[in-house]
Order: sequence, then structure tokens, then C-alpha cells
Amino acid sequence: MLVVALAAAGCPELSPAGDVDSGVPDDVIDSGVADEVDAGPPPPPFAISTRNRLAWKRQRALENDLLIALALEKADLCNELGLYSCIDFVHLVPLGGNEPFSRSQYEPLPSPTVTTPIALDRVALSACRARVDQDVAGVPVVFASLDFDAAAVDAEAAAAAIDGLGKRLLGRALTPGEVEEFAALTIDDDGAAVSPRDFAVLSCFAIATMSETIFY
Amino acid sequence: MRLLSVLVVVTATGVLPSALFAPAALAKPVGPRLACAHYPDAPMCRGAVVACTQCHTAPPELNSYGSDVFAALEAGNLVYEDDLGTALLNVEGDDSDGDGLTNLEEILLGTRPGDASSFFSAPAPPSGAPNPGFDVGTYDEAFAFRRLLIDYCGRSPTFEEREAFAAAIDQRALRHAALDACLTSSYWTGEGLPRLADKRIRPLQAINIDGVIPLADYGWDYRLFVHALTGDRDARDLLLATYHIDAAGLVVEGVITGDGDDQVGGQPALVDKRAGMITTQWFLMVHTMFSELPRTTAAQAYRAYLGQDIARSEGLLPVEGEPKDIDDKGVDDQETCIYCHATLDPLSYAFAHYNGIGDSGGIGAYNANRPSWQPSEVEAVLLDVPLGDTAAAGVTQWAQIAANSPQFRQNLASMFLTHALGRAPLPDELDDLQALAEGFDDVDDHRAVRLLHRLIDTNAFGVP
Amino acid sequence: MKRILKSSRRSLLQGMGSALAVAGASSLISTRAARAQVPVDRKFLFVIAATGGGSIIDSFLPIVDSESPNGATIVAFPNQLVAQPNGSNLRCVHSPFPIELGGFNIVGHLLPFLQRHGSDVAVMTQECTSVNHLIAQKRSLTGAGINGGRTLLEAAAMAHGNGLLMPAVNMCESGYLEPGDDVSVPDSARAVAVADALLFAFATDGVRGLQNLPQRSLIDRARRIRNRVDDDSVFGITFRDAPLRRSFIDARTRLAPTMEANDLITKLTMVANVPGSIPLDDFDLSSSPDGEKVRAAFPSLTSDPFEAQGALAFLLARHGVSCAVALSPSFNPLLDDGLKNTPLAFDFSHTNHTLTQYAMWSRVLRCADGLITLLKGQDVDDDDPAQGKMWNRSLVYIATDFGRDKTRPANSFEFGSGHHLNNGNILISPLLNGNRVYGGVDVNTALTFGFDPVTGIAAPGSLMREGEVYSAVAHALGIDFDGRVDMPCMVKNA
Repeated sequence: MLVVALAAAGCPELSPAGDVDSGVPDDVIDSGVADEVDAGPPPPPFAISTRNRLAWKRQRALENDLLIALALEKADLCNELGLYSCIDFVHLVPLGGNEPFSRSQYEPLPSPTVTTPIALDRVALSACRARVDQDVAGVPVVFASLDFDAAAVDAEAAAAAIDGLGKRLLGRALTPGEVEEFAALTIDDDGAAVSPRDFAVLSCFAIATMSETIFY
Repeated sequence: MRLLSVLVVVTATGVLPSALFAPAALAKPVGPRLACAHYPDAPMCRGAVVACTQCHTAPPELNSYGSDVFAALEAGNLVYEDDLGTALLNVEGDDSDGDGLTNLEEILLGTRPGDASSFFSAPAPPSGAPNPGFDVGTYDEAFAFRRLLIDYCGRSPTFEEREAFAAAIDQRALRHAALDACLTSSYWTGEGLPRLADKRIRPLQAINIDGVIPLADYGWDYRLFVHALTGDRDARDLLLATYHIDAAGLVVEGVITGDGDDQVGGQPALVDKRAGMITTQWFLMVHTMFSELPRTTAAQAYRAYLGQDIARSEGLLPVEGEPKDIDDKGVDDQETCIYCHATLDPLSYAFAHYNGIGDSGGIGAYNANRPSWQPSEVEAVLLDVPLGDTAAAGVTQWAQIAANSPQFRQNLASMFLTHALGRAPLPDELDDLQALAEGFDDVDDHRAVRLLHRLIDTNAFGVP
Repeated sequence: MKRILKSSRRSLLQGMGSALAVAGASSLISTRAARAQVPVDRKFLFVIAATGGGSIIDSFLPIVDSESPNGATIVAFPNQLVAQPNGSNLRCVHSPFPIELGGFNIVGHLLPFLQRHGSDVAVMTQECTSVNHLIAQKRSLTGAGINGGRTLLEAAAMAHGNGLLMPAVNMCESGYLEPGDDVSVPDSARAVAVADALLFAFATDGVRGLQNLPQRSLIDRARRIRNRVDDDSVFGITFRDAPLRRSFIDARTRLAPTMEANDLITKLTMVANVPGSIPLDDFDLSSSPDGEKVRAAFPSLTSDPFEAQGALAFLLARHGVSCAVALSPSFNPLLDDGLKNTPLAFDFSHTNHTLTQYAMWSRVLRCADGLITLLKGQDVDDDDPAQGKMWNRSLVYIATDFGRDKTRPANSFEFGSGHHLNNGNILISPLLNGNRVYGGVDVNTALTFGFDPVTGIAAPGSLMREGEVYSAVAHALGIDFDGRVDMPCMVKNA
């Protein structure tokens, strides 16, 4: 059913994006035509929720979590054009907030909008970049395991950084499999080494935007 | 200050807007009462009378269930006022909206039997190997711990806090200790509760611009709302408080003087005529404005603190002989108006004794002689209870009845549970809601904090 | 109560206001990607909500007081306040001299609108079925349920939005923002709520405009890895069927990349670069290639949210994002070099009927004028001008809650009015037989009456309802459904 639902609003009018692994086949994204064949997801390896009643973590909790996890100040977080707060202003609504005073929005939206993932990406990228910049410039707080002067990130340092990010951003220890997956960010698609600074931003961003960071 | 001139320069002759004027009528406004007499324990009748949408798409049009009920009335040659219960009984086994649930099943679940989009099927019990991260299908202490920190502290637990929680011998006690800390946090008092207040206060930046307050200051309203719902305080003070809270957080008794003849920024209502959130200067200014009979004011009080939205055909308890159209607005002229105004106008009379904008004595001041009609010409009624001499008592009796009503506690419990879950409770969570509401008086002694402690123990809150 | 947003909001608006003075070459840079061909039968619906109750007899169906024996006590106007453009069958309220509301000048825009677009204007009388704001607003978009509860936006999205990223977008408030009641409408056809039109473009790309980041290819790689880990995590598996998470993942994996790939962050950026206050250039951003013309059509878009909505409505349709867009003035007052928006919009008529109606009709029609002007100048397909202009496929429906009282104190222009069922709507489209009133108004009572849907002949004693208005819009846009009341008299080539 999911595939059918996705395809129903396919987008042949706009050029589809094919470079991000969506988890659904490319032809579904591209065609805008429903794929009638739906094998369904594989059986789960353990008991899963049948209630499925998650709540949406709204903008203030998102902000607080990033500030705490990355030891940042509010001013360090995303500001569009360097001037306008992403969380308090520009992306307030898609991040789950409401503005009662100037917009008469007396209640927030009940569920995320189509632009919520993008707003989350922008906020997380900005926060991670700010943390990395501060760690590069001074005494490292989050990325103490990384040598920012090196040309590449060694596996042990990467694993330590990833483990620390998991604990800070998700509040839990990542599984060995998850650490290994994120460690692939030490190289690019061609297998070339990624700089420690870029690796730090990327791993932080990837973990900070896991769905478990905004649903609970 | 320019807006003030806009509002005051023009001659005010109309009532305020709103969501108040009636939907079209079927002239059967006794229906909600009769339905709830037949199904007194159904979710739709808990702390409320059933909304008209149970039988109507919007009055007078019947939905599929309403059509079946009326068909049953006709088929049995039954009299509506006397035999509605029989007709309801006769269609209980039908599935009027074709959603797979019988009408009786829907009534017991709390879904709408005339709306195919309103249905519910209980989730199956989880099956399979143990979940390594969540106690799915049962109360999960760690899941609830994270949820309460996000809901009431505005942040997730840190890794260290999670570890400590996992190792705790008495996790429930730790949860409740965490809640206590959250409920005094700057997040809860400065963000969580104010956002719950927004739709009740309905601020407008343009009428309170950058510290320049041309008409009234809603800061008083936010502070009182937060005060009444925190600490060891009686939440009924939302409607019963005779005091205010200043910017420093201190209780202020007595009349609070504002600026100029309009008493702008103050709280000019006499102490013995105060009723918490519904007699603040802001509330009366923004809702009453120029209206002689402030229907918008009463409707907002009914909606915000009793959960009854007349604009959505909720809480209709029509009073015999109403509407009188005491202010000559033609609400007794159109059949479409009578339907809601038979409930709304009696709700509104008490508020006519408080100034809106442009009345002498200050915005929001009590003014026994404000309306042009004589007190004997009208009888104020709330929830079927006559309010007596509102010219002398103002809305204090209104507030007393409201604050001690099932609707008030149901509304409060619903507000907090909906906030905690991020959505309205589902049919299998209505028992939790009901227990929260019913325990508010005796178990909680009217303390919101105590209600929240019970809330985080519910399955609705803690079962992933 | 401290409001943390206000200072940044004001500074943004002030900064953007100055942008108008320097709108120039940078906005002409074309970054538009090649587009697929637009389906030949695609049509566009724009709903502009006259929030609070716009009265038809105070706009395009006025009564001159001398025409009625009750001219002094029904809502009517002296002859000098009613104008009729040359050659037009329509007339409107128009003040030839300056008037004020509460000390602010009202610049009328009813007559200029008729002069520019009167040939496409159809005035359709109707009497709605509720004087309750919320209910009436919703019924104005669902036709009181004539199409199974489906809103016009949803119906248009389903008929014409195949392949669009956000077929329907809704920027309104209250009942106009509510989704329809037809459970068969797919999520993809439900309207996307947009709260802030001015800055919506920033929400269409997760990376652009942020500085000192790794290369985009690396970020995309991180996204791919994240998505995989997310789905395989204990949380992802446990809640794989949770509706909230599923819709989020869908938006993240399918819609967001498409928005980025099509550079919507540029196409929808309506403001111009202004060093210091709107430094687009510093952040590798640029104004939309259509920026200059939308700013010309909506010169106050930086300070007036309603104008920004009008601009975004055009940009969304023009760039193949949406085919059905709704917008509305706010209930909030707007003081911006004058009273632009009365408190409570049209509902301020409770306090001052005549001037509120004139001010708000002017406001609504000025926005419609800007939108229509843009659509008239825009090819449907830049690569195939033979397909004609977007306006040829568009319909603007000015919805409203209900009408207002029909009577007034003798000869008074300073009175308040209540809500009234009886009213009419304004539809503007080259798809309609315009320059015409469908139905009429009884000059004795100021009550409107209906018409024969086939011949269009006025029929005193009859009434059109919300369903007929819905049907007229649907018929013109080629939206079929059981129960549609065909309006061959109104629809061209029907």
C-alpha cells in the first residue's frame, strides 16, 4: 500500500530526484504511475508496535536537545541568511510550532508537513557545523577523538566519534552495525577519504536527523 | 496607538463577529439531551451533551445515522420528544455509515455512526520475538520517561539520565520525581503552558504592539493561566480567581489601575465581580468589544474552559423561550439563528455587565447598568442552571457553576491528555480520559499537577 | 508575555521593504530547469477567501438608492457612489473622492478591477446555509457537501494535479483551511498548509543557503546512509507502520529530493537580493527569475502577508508545483503605511459595515488583480507559446463566509451589520461567459435571487446554493462528479 500511496502523487511535471536512496524503487519515483505490485515489508525480526501512536517532538524540544547534545548556545543554531532564526521564525510551523501573536496561529499543526524534513535538515546541518567549527577552533567538546589536521579519519577515531554522537543525540549507544554504517562517511562515493571536518559534520547530521530524534 | 483610534472613532453598533451565529436548524434542539438520556455512559455524553454532528452533517442536513433514526421514528409512528430512545434502539444493530461497525458499537466506542471516516479497530496484541528496545503493547517505563521529559521539560533525557533510569530500582518513583522537576521548569511555565493558553486567550500582536498597549495587556492572562495550573493550586482558579499575577510573579489583590479613562493595561473589574480568565481586561476587550450582548465572550468562555464549541454545534442546551433577541439583532428572525441562540443568548447575559471598548469606567470594568434592558427582562442560564441576578453578581455565579461542572474537569483532562499524546485520545484511550476527569475533584483535589501525575501512569501515555 | 519573534520579524520586513527599491538585474537570472510538457487539459484554480463575510451588494451588485422605494433603509448607495465602466454590464461601489476609516485612507479598487478584468467577471448570486463563520467557510469550499465533502481544492488537485509535487496548497485560516470530509481523497490531493508564503522557498532545500558545509554529494551520501540506518534501527522497525513516521519518511525520501532537484528554493524566492538585509548573494541564493514581475504585481509583499500569498500562488502554479491554491487576508489587523487589513477582516462590518466592505473588497480585488495580471502575462509552457497563457486555463473563485444584513438606519453609512445567508459570489475566468450577473437582486429587499442554470435567465423566487457555486467552478474546470449541477449558461463552450 505504501508504494501505491507514494506513486499516486508522483511528480513527472518536475524533474525527479534520483540521487537519494528513498527506500522505494526509482521507477516509482519517476513514473508517477502506481505500482500495483506490493510485496509489503519483510517480516520484522521482533515484536513491533501495533498501536503506532508516536508523538511529534516540537521545535522547542528539538532546539533544547541540540543545544544540550552539542553544547551550543542558541545563537549558534540555524539563522537563514545569517539573520532570521530558523526555529523561532522561518521554519517555526513545519518544525511543529505556532505563532499566536502575529499570525493568529493558536494551535500548531497536528502532524509534520512536506517541508518538515528539509527544515530539520537545515537546523541539524547548521548546528553540527557550528559544533565542528568550535571544536576545530578550540578545545574539542564533542569531537575529541578526531585530528582535524589529518587528511583522513582513522577507523578507531571515527567509531569513537560516532559512538559519542549516538549517546549525545539519540541518548543511546549505537549498535555495532549502526556504527559501521556511519563509519562509511569517512569516505566518499568514490572511496576517497573525507576530511575529518567534513566527516564530523556529516556523521553529526546523519545521526541528528534520524526519525527517532523527532518522534517519541 | 493608531489602532485604538480605528476602533474607537467608528460608531459601534454591531455585535462582534464570530463563530457564534447559528447553523441552520432542524428545530430539534432537544435531541442532544434526549440522546444522552438514552446513552448516559457513552463517551459522547461524558462531561458534555452530544454534538449535533452525531445525527447531522451540519443541521439541518441529516447524516446517514440521523436519516436512519428519523426513518425509524416515522416507521414506528413515534413521537420525537417521547420516543427518540426507541428509535435509537431500533437502529442500534444497523451500520448506517457502512464502515463495518454497528451503530451501537460506534456509540460505545465514541466514534460517529453517521460518518464513514470515523471508525476504530483496536490494535492487535504485538507478536514475535521480544523487542530489544521497547515493551510494545505494555506500559514501558523508559518510553514513558522519555515522553514525560519531552512533554514537560521540553527536552529528551540524556544518555546518562537514561542509564540511571534503566538502573533504578523504583523506576516509577523516578518518573514521578522527574515530572515534579519538569512541572516547575522554565520550559513548562514559559512555553508548555502558554502554548496551551494560546487558543484560550487568543492574543493579537497588533492590539498589543511591542510593549505599547493600546487596549489591554494579555500578559495578565498568560500569567494567571500558568499560575492556576502549577504548584499546589486549585485549577478552578482559571474561572474563580479574584486576584492577578504581576510580571514579577506576585499575587496582586484588588483593582489594578491602568492608564487613562480606559484603564488600559490594568484590571479594573471589581474583586467581587471577578471570575479568573473570563473577566480579565483582555478577554472582555477582545471578545466583547462593542457588543451590548457579548455573545462572542460567552461562547469563548464556554469553548475555552468547558470544551463546548457552539460553532461546532456542541453543548447546545436550549432554554425555553429563548432567544429573546434582547438586543434586536434579529437572531429570532431566522430559523438558522434560533438553533444556537437558544443556548447562547442565556449564556451571554451575565457578560453584558462588563465593559467592552468605549464604555465609561474602563475597558473590562464591571458596569451593572451597561445593557439597555432591565435585569428582569432576561434570565441567564448555564448548563441548565439559572444564574439569578447577574446585574448584581456579574459572571461570578456563571464561573462557580462552570468551575464545578463535569464539563470543566473533562475539558481540563482532555487538554492535558491531548497535549501529552500530541493528538486527541482514541476510543481505547477514552477510559483513561474518563478516569482522569472523574478523579480531578476527589483524587486530585482540583490540582492540575496531581492530575498530570496520574496522567503519566496511564496506558495511553506509556504504552508504545 | 515576551514574544521572541517580533524583533526578527520586524527587522526582516524592514529589510525586505527596502529591497523593492533595488529590485533589478539579479532577479532576471534564469535558473529554471527544463520542464516536462504541461498536460493540455490542465487547469488552475485559485480561491481567494473574503474572510469574514464579503457582501455582494457592497461590491459588484450594488443598488442605487433611487432605484428602490426602500432606498433609504436597505443597503444601497447614492448614484455617485456606483460606477460602471464603459461597455461593461457590471457596476460596482466606487468612491470618486477620498474616504477614511478610522483616520486611514481607503484606496478603492473595485472600479479598476472591473475596468481591467470585467470581461471575465461572472457575478453569481447565491444564498448559503449557515451564518456561522466556521461552517459557512467550509461549505463555501465543499459546496455544502455536494461532492461527497470534497473541497474544490481537493477536487481540482485530483482532476488536474497528477504529477504535481503539491497539487493543492492552502494559505487560509479557520474554516477555509479545513480539509474536506471525503475519505476517498488521497493524501496527495489534500491541501498542504503554508503558514508563511514570503519565506516558503527556504523550506524547499535542506542545504542551499547554508555556509561552510561539505559538498552536496557528501551530504546526499550521508542522507542515504541515514535513511538506511533509520529504517533498520530498532526504533525504525518498531514504528515502521506509525502514520506520523511514515508520512515523514515519505516526504524526506521522495518529495524533498524532488523539491531540491528542481531548485524550488530559487524559483519560489520572491524577494530580491539586498546587501546587508537580504544578502541572498552571500549565501549562494538568488531571487526567482520571476521575482521582478511578482514584486511589480505585489509591491508590498515583504510587509503584507496577503500579497506574499498572491505572489506564491502564482509561483507555485507557474513552476509546476501546484494547480489549486487558496489564499486569504487575515483576521488580524495590518497597519502598514495605512490600515491595510481591518481587524477581523470583513467581519469588522459588525462595527462599520460600509467602509469595512469597501476597504476589504478593495483589498481582495487588488490581490486578485495582481494574480490575474501575472497569469495573463505568463505562457503555460515557456518552450511552447502556442499553448497560450496561464490565465486562459485559470479560474479565480472569491469565496466568502456569507452575506451581511440588508437593512440600515435611514440613509446611514455608519452602521454595523450582522450575518445574513443571502449573498453572491464573484468568479473570474476566461473559461466563463463573463461580464454578466447570473441571477439578480430585488431592489425592494436587497435580497438576491437565482437563475436558470441552462439559459442563465434570472428567476426571481429561486435561490442558488453553495452546491451550485461549487458546480459552476467544477464545470468550468472540467471537474465531473455525480450530482454536479451543470451550468451551461456560465461555462464557455459548454
